[in-house]
Amino acid sequence: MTQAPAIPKELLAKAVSRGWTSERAASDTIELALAKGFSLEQIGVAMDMGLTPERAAEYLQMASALRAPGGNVFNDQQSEYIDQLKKGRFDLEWLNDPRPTVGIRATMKDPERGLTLQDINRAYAGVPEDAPEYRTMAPRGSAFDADVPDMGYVYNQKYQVWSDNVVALYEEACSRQWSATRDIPWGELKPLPPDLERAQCQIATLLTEVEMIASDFPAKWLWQMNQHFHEVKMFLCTQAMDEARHLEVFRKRALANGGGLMRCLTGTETFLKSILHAPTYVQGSFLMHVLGEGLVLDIFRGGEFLAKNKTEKEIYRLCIQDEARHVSYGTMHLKYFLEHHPEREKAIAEMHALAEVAELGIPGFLTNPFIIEPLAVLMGDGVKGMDKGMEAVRLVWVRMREEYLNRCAIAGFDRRDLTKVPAQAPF
Amino acid sequence: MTKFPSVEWFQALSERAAADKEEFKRLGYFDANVGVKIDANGSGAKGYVLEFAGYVVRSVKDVADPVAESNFTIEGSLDAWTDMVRNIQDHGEPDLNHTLNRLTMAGVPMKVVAKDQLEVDLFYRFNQTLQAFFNEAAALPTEFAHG
Repeated sequence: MTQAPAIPKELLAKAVSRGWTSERAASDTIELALAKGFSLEQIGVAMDMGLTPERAAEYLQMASALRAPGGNVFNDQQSEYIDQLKKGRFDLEWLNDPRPTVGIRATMKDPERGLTLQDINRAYAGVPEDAPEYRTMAPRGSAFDADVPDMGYVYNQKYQVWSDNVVALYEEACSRQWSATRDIPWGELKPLPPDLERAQCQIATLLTEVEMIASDFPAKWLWQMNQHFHEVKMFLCTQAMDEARHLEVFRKRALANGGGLMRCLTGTETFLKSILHAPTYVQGSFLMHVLGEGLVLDIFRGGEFLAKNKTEKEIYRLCIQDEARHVSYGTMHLKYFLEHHPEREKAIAEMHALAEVAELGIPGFLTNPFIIEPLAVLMGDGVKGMDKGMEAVRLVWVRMREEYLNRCAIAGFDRRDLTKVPAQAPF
Repeated sequence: MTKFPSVEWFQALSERAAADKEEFKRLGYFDANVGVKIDANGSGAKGYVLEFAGYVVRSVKDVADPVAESNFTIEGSLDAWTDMVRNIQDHGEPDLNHTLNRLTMAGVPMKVVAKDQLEVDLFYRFNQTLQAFFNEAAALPTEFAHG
């Protein structure tokens, strides 16, 4: 048996600098790793990659010896199983399900549509009503070992993530996916007068900039949601894909017809940062799904309204559909959150405090010359018609405010008498 | 020739859409009751409800109050509806000024009415399918009620 190498002081110092509690504790863990056959270099690299002492201890507990005598890579349990297999004996414990679902046959309500989540939820372990006892990736309704590791999920209560329309919205999203490459008639894009092209491209630049927040935001929170609520996580995955496609399609529009990518502003980035760094999921969801995407939905409607060719019509119409799904989830999530929060009044008060500040984003958005002037140019059919075009901006102002307030009302979060956003555009 | 507006006209449109099922499957399913309200230029209103289910329209019926029996209703004058259908027929599809979103966004000449915003949002969520459905009018021989 070879002697384990001495642990260099530099490695111990690195461990402490990476947050390992003490040189003594680090030394114990490193000695165990060395005994399992890991090299000093591997241990150093693992520390550089962010391995915590807790994770290291967990891993070493389970890990097979990396360099066991004779090159054996199997632990005792694996070796014993191999011996049994050699004797033709199977374990078959996997058939010994304490909660058997054998015999479950989910049936399609509509064979033409296929087997939906609603179909399987009707059959077994459907919409969850409970807070899960475990924080595991094991599928809802399956049997699993009692000592499964804790995944560290933060959102383990249904009200923190759920909305009553999320299962249907997931299926709808899957059914209505489209391709920015294949499904847009790019060949119909024809040269526009320079002022119209520039206006369209300023809007396309803005949308290229803002859309991906709605991929980054769900991605940030997904891993923190208990997999018991897998439908929510799956829907948010479709949203991430939708927004990737929106970035794609508006970037393509900006670069496909001579106008090019134009200007992005600090104010817009600041709003995006407030979403990305919202301290809780529901706060970020309100900012993004209800407020932000509600505004963008009306920009999409306006884009379709003002489109100068079939290409733009198709782009905006397809984006309208995607965005409306996200807004519908956000609205119903807010409703579910507020209706089921254990301290409902406190939760409502906190959301009002957030909304009071966040709503300033609406006048901020609609007094931004980089947004409203391109819209006015498109509406007025050119720079010369901008005055007339401002009528469309005034219309968008009223519509954005109304639809936002309507969605808040559906969520049981009435802002109509509280909002400071003027009912009419002040210009 | 099928008279517009009538239950028969919307049924004929539904049959055309059903024959084009692969295209509607590509767009995705659509579950909603869609109301159509046509104000007949001072002589009362005609109302219809189209039941979209999956990739087809399952039923069409005339009703007195489509708003009460639908998820959302598209309202407009007979002139506005006729203009839209004629435009689709003239161009094989709507021109830039005659898409459903374009016609309804400002509230004139058409508007979308529903009991709440979530139902209005259905009009947005299924807009492409709804547009494709009305685009089927391009080749539907139609007798207009006026004009």
